[in-house]
Amino acid sequence: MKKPCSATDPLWYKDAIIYEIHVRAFADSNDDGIGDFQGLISKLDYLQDLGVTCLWVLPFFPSPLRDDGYDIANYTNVNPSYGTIEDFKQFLDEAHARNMQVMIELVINHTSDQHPWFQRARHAPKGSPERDYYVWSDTDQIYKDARIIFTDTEKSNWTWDEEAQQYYWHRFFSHQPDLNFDNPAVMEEVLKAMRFWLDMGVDAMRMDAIPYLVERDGTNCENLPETHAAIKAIRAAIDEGYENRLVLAEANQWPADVRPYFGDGDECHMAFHFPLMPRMYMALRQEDRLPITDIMAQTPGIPDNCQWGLFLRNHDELTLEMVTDDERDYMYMAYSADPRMRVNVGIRRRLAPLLDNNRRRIELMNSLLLSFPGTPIMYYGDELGMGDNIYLGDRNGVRTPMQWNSDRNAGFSKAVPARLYFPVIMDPVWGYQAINVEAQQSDPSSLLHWTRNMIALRKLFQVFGRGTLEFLHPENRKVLAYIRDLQREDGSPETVLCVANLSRFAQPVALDLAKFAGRQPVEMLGYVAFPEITDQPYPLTLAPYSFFWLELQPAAPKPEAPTIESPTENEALAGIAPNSAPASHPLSIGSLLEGGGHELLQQLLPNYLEQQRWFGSKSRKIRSAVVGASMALAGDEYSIALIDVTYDNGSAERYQLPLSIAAGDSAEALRKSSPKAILATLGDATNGSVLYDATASEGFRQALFGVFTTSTKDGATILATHSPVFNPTSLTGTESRVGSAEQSNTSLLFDQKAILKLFRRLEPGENPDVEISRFLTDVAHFDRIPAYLGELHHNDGTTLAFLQAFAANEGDGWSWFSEELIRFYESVANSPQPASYGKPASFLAEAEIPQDAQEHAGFSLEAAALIGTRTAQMHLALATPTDDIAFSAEPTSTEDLTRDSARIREQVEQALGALKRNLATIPDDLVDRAALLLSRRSDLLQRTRALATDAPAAFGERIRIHGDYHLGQLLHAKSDFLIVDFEGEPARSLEERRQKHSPLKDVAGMLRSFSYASRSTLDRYTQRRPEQSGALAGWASLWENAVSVKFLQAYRETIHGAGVQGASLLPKPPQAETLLHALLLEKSLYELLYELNNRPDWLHIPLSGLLALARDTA
Amino acid sequence: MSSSPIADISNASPLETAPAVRSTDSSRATLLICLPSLGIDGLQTMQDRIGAALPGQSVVLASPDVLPDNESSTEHLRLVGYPAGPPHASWTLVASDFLTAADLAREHNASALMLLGAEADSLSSAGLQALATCILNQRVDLALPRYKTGPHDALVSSALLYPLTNALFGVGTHLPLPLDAALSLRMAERLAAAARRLGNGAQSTPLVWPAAEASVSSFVVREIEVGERTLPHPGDADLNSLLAEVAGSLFTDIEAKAPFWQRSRSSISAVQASEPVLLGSETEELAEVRAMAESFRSAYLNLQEIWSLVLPPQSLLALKKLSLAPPESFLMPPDLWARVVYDFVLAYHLRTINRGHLLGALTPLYLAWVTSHLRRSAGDAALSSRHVEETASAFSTEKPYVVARWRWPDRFNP
Repeated sequence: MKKPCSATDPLWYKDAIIYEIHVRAFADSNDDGIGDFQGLISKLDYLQDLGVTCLWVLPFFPSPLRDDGYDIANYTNVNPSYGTIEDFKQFLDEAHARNMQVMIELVINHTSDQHPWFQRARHAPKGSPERDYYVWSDTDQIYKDARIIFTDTEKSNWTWDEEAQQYYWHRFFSHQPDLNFDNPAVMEEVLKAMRFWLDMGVDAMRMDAIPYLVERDGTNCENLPETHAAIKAIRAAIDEGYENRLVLAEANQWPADVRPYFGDGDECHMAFHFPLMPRMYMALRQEDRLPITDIMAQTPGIPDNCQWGLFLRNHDELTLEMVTDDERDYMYMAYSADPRMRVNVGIRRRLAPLLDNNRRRIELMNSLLLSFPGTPIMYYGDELGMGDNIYLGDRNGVRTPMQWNSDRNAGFSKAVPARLYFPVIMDPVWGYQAINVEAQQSDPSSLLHWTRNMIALRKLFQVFGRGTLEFLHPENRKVLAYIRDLQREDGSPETVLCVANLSRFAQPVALDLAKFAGRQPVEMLGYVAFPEITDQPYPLTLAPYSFFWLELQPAAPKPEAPTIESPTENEALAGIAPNSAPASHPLSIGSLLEGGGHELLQQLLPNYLEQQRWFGSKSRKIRSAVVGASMALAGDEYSIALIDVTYDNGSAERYQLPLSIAAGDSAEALRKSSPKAILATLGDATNGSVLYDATASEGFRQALFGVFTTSTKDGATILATHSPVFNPTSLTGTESRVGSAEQSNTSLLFDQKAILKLFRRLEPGENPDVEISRFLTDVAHFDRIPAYLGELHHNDGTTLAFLQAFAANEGDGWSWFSEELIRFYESVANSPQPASYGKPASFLAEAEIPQDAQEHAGFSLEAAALIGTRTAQMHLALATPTDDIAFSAEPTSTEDLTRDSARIREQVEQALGALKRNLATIPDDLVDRAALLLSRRSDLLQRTRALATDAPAAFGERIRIHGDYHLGQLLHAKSDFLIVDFEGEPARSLEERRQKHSPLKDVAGMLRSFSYASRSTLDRYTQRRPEQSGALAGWASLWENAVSVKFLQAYRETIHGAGVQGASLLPKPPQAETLLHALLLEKSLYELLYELNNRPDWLHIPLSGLLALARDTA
Repeated sequence: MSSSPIADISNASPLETAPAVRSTDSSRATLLICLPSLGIDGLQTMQDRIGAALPGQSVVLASPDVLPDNESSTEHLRLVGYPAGPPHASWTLVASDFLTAADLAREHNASALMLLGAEADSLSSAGLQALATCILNQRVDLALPRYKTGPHDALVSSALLYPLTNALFGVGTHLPLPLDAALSLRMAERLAAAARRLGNGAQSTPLVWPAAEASVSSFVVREIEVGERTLPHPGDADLNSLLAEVAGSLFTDIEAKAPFWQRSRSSISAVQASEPVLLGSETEELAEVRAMAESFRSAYLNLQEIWSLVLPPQSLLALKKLSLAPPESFLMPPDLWARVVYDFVLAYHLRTINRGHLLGALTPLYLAWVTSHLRRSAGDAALSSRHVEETASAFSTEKPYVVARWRWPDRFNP
């Protein structure tokens, strides 16, 4: 008779906490040294108390146990060592009585070679139905593209059988022949075995090794369509006969390859997320969230009824199949110093030993496990921090007896110790005397209590099992922050902010939580209310390896804010004072500007502007700020004011400032969420209006976006243009917020789909960022930038705002390389000087990358090459043949070279002049080098003269370029880079920024940026280790040279790979070398001037670069 | 009374202003009224009273006094028996009462129900009318009565059940364990499901907590003032076992619904504590207070070992001071009582000690609250009510305490 599933919710597995158990290892009831079902039953109260809700029982079937039971000799019985079928049924009932579900193994890819089916097959004639149960061949030369999984023990996936006189196929051990799923009889047998257990009331099946069910020649025999068809058939049989059951897929594949195992919700309900697990360890060791965010970015969405299975450790090795070669090497070095800790392609250690038994690290990793999207799966003993025994063979080191108490055999068995299936762990640190359940139960501060509390806490919040995931991108990459969000069935939101410090030191972080402005974070473990969120970055400080789970609750009602006495309307406008001024009501911004508003704003603006992050001229004194023009939006509810700012030195700038007035609840909401947006309080005792920057208003943002979707009327002052492939109505009504990262402009974010960048400082004419992005998207179809979607401009042609696709990213290139460099310096800190510093990047010779660089800077080299490729692709896109004169490529002329030469020469004179004037004030340790540079003036000028003497045709073409190209203009996204911000150097005029140049100008910019990264990070690194400064300088040079060479190599290869177009774009090598040096000189001189004026501490960086250039010339 | 973000609860209009049931729509709907055994006379009295209270209303009246062969019906009233056995007819409604009522409601296609407990014939027509009106006309799912009681009545509810239900489930009904109740059909089904879940429990007559069930389901709840009613005595049960039964059941329900009350947040309106009343030197209350204070002192000496497993040092210190206080100043502050109860709820959840022993150790503490109540109310209904509201307010104010302790039950706390 069929027993129903014990769970009533069909999606029970989404809220489950799964606990992985080996019957053999858990508890021995009959003192034979082997755990059994009666022993397990006796420990169910412990598991219930721990809070786990589903027990995953490893194979308990009759088996020769040559692969820990995964070599099954009978699918429908219990291994006598563990008990009987009746014992299993009793276990099932007892677990269900404690509201725990039970998952067993469905190992159907292979059987034991002792299974009667196999014995029958090898004795049956070739081609007979019996033999056809397995995969046989006369040759071992088919399926050769299938990799060998157990590389330590197996040399081939084929083994010769003397009896059968054929090879049989096995993806795992040779004693585990693969079943033949091309034979319908095999499927029938599998379903029969499955129904045997499901009828009994088993709730879930873990399908072992399912990517390998079917083989086809010419493929890697993994993830084949025929395999998916077999899984669908199994699932259909389950759905047809049973309710609320679960199938969990074991498919050790990349997320994109695992995705098909969910099908359309009609294959497996759950699948392990294998690649995430090693990356969690990698992120922890590297103190960098990137490995985690990277793999999650590569994780596709899954059907609503499906779920990822997450784990930190299990009964197998910590598999490193789903990592790159470099990552694998790193993991081996980081986590398995002793080669005995390694097996196959992985590390055979338990959680606590992997983390050096550091309690805070263990807690941090568990906090990630319990708060990531998916169902957590815990391995028995890890709740205690049990150790392992690397001296046992295969993966048995992590399969030792559970440690219950400090009695003999750890309380696992009363057998004589020699009879135990494996010895208990006995060393002083990990031994059962130190680590056992009984001791930890009586210690309220134990890991066991901590784990129990965390499980209980997780179970209170459905969002952890069912909510969405969104990573935040704070600047500090040692901090991993993410939002889990769930709209519950009753319509209420459940939002949790998780923040984890991956570093061994305390870390600060500022989180962009603007879209949750007004909500109150409540720390979930202690129910402690944190300060309310505003539209400003939310600061947190995290202790080493600490984490926060903060529930973002609607803010608790507060006492009403005090109101200001209001005089009459006229008095208000006459005697207004910033932030406390009364005014008339109701009042719109339109009527304010028509009335006395101009005078009011004239008083308010200087002070207000100086406090804004986007106001770029803080060092200049404002003489006046007046509303030069204004444009109404949404009737007169909003007005975009164009503020003309005049400075004391007579210079002037124009800024854009959207304005509005809010009263009542809206005003109150603004005071809470965006206090810095308020220019003045105009309130009285009844409604307290505020004059504010309208970007803080959802209404304004929607109204501004609405310009894209409404037809333009004659005489309109704000006009919209959009890309032909973008339909603005697709974003109508999308919720928006103000981004917090922007400095000189203001970004309005429309969900995770688009960004409308509002340019604050306006210049007449079209903004180059918009112009170039539009060309790259609409004409060149270049996809390594956030796509151009549209723009808003004044009817005089001035660009007001730029609409781009939102690009999820993990920070900019500068941050990425800075972190990489810290790791680089850490890795070489105790090494002797490198054997060679390498050579600078050059067009004249192919420089070798020194071995030292390859060994220590592998990630940086890969990234630099990728940037080189992307840069070349950008230039090829900008050189796309076009009739648009603003973009068409032009041959370099003599005039161009003369102009370049003159410009750089002037730069030399100007910069060296400034250096000479400031010689007395620069840091003492730089005076010698500064003087040396001054003495090389003629060498530097020689660089510029070289330009003017060469034939122009050999200098390639001139195109529109990025213009301000450096690492900060790259976004690191999904293991790649996006290029942003085509505005050009802000200090230059629009006309200058729109001029065409050799693409080598961008190349020079990036090379200088690598130099800056290496030197400034070295300064940062040695700040606390000054004694290492000298020793590491050589390594800094090596890094800079190697990365630059890699960048230029990839750049040139990509350009040359583009054929004719690429051939004409770059100068010939000698001329390219000449031009590159001249442009490097120009850039370095610009840096010298900048550092002289702003950051004397950084002056040594351009000084070193310039001296190197001068030296090369000499 | 604090308002709830989930269940809509408010005291209904006073009896005098309760409108008669005249709505044509509601009269078409069938109201099932389940009675306990009242005897033939009692049944007739109830028939008359219901007829007067609900003129024109289609009513099915279920009574164990109606045998299958004498079921009858008039134009608006059908008299039926209980095919599956009579109701429990105890001092409160129990799980089986809700199961039976839901079955009957389905059988007779009723759209609303009223379950009346033992000695229901002491309910007035106006009270019956107020309950029926609420459930039939006002889109309410659960109407629970509030009786006119004396200052010393329903003290377990006042000390424990009402404050806990109010603070954790946001339902400020003064008698969360009802003797009478009016239900919408969906509420009846919900309670029947809850009763079924309890079916296999250890208790022979498991208790169901309608207000908590309604709150979890976001159903609308009203408390209706129904005037005076005779309250049946809980039989032979002594205070110790009665408190253990009721508190144990409520604590179990709180444990099961933790994911709900951990998330819900009620706004808190603190009730200011009033000054205790000075009892006259020779009043009966003072004598009682003396005896109970002495009893608490004795319990403190005997039970402090168990209490120390459950309560944090600050509470233990406060209890020590209380045990040393002279009867004239014996007063357990409401916030201390709230934290003590919350710690017992937590210890029950964690199985810190045997649950039976745990609940037994709560009784002397409850009596300390009762002693304080006597001092504070001095036989005055208004003062009594004020103390009850202060207690409830303290439970709401201290809710973060139990939320935090539940989430991180570290013994190392203040």
